[in-house]
Amino acid sequence: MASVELRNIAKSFGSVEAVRDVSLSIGDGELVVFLGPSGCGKSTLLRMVAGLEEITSGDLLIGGQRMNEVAAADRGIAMVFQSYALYPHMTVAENMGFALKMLGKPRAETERKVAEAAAILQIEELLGRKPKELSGGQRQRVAIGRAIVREPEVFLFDEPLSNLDAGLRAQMRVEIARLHERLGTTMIYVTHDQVEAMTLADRIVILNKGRIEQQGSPLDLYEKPVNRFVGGFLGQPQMNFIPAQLVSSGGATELAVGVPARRVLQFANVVAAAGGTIVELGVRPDSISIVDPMLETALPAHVVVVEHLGGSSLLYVQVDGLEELVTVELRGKTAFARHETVGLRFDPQRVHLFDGGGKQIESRAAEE
Amino acid sequence: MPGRPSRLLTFFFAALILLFTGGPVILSLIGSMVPDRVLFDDGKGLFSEGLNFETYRYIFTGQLPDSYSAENANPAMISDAARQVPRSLLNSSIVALSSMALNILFGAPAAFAFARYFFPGKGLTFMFLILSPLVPSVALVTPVYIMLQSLGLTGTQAGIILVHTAKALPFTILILSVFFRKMPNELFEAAVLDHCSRFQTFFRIALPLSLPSIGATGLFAFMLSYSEYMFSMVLSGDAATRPVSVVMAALARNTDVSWSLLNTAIFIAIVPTLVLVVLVWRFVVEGLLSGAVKG
Repeated sequence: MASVELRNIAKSFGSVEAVRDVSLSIGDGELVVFLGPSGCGKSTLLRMVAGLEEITSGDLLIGGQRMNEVAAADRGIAMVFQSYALYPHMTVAENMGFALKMLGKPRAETERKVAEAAAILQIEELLGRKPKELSGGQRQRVAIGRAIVREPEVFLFDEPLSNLDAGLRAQMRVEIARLHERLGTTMIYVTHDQVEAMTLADRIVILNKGRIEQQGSPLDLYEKPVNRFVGGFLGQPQMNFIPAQLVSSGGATELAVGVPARRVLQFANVVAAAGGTIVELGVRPDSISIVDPMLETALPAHVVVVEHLGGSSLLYVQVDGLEELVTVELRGKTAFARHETVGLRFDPQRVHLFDGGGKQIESRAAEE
Repeated sequence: MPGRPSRLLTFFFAALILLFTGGPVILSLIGSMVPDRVLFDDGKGLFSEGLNFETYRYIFTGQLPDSYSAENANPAMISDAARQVPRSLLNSSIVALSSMALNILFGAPAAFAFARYFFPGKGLTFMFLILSPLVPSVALVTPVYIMLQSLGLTGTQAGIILVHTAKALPFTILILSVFFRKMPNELFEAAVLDHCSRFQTFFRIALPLSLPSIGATGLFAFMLSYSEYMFSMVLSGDAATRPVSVVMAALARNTDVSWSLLNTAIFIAIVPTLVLVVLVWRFVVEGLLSGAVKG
């Protein structure tokens, strides 16, 4: 087991900067998820840790040792690829034992370790089969088994579940979590699926355009996004972004939304410019409640679409003066129907304000 | 019924192609078994005197066909060159199999290097490989002859093997490098993580997975060598080294040749290729099909 430290890591492909100045330290035994949209550099970052991609600048330390120039095979890592990358001409057992065979380990030792890994993953009965005789989930298990056999200091997962169907993905997610608990090995896990990230990670690192946007525990990121990107990326259904204006009113600052403007929120600590400050209100669908539209602090809206999800319902509502629909998540079934007029009330403790550059503005709701 | 006319069209064109590919083979087979006097006589039906294997007997044993032992027959039409066919078949097999083996031995690793690694001069050397087949063989005959002469390899099989290998190698490398490039990158990255050196990656991963393609390109090299005429003629010496293409040409050049004998020689020359295709092709097709189903 080992810690992993990235110091000012950067990677360029020609003139394209894929990863810029990433510094990160991953503790021994921690499961860290690199999360971001495709092309954000998360896979490149992982491949640099693995040694499959050269590091343009910066230092990579695994277990305190500088690894920039160490060959991939000697870094003490094992990687699980998105496509599994099982050798098609070898049986499952041969696939799993291949690394040890190449190291010249005695056959008995290799067989014992393969058997142990197979037992952990419950794939003993598959050992004699070729990869093409396996289902997607079984192949994924074998790929993980191959990594376990190597007894690495650090496990690297590169979108390991994205080739599986939804049901299997959920099942494998749980298995990877249990595996981490059982082995206690440091793991770095790359995904673009925020559900995987939220459920698996001790810590999520959100990447965008080659930079770290924010890192922290899943709930921290969910509740305190430092910018619009993080707020929008985490959470399903997505956070609503509503154009709004901060205006001074007496001692407090009020937030005006819609046409004609309704002053829906009051903040104690935010200062508005003289003519008002244009901001964006970020509010998750579950932080909006439906109230009487005639209330002064409610934002009137028309219901456009209702989606019944069983355990909850989604309302898509149109607010006068806004281009985009606002999503509202309600618990249980809902009696609201299309064309109905409703009032939106934003939970003042759970709203986020973002400035023109997308950065979060520290805000505290005023006492009502 | 939609699709019906297009299916008929498919059959029509397939039959047309078969006529041009299979037709000559069938014609030479029939021609080899029908006596000359039937072939040359418009008044007689093709099978009016039945089929016989006397020309085959002549080629392998030297015993004249019965009809040419008869009075008024012209035994000069039975060319001596036909007697060289069995030996030339052996020569051609040695040359073509050697060229095939050398092509795989040198071509597969070279193709792998071109497909997967960067090295200085890669672009330039690959361009040379692609462009070299565009130089007409005729233009190369003299320089190649002089080169081999200075090496003392004219009139030897080794010389022909060398030239045939060099001529087929660009195709072998081109085809195999395309194949190697199509193999998923992650497979080789996994091999790197599994402590494989470059050579081990090639030998333990790439090679076992590309056997069908290697078989196909090897077959291609074999056929290129087997049918090559120009260099074979210039570089071969006496009957002991002469490949089949040269002997066939010698037979066909003779205007007074027995057609039956010529057809026999042609058919015998086709047989090794047919056998090889039947043996290897199944393997190749099976391999390609199993690869086509996403693994």
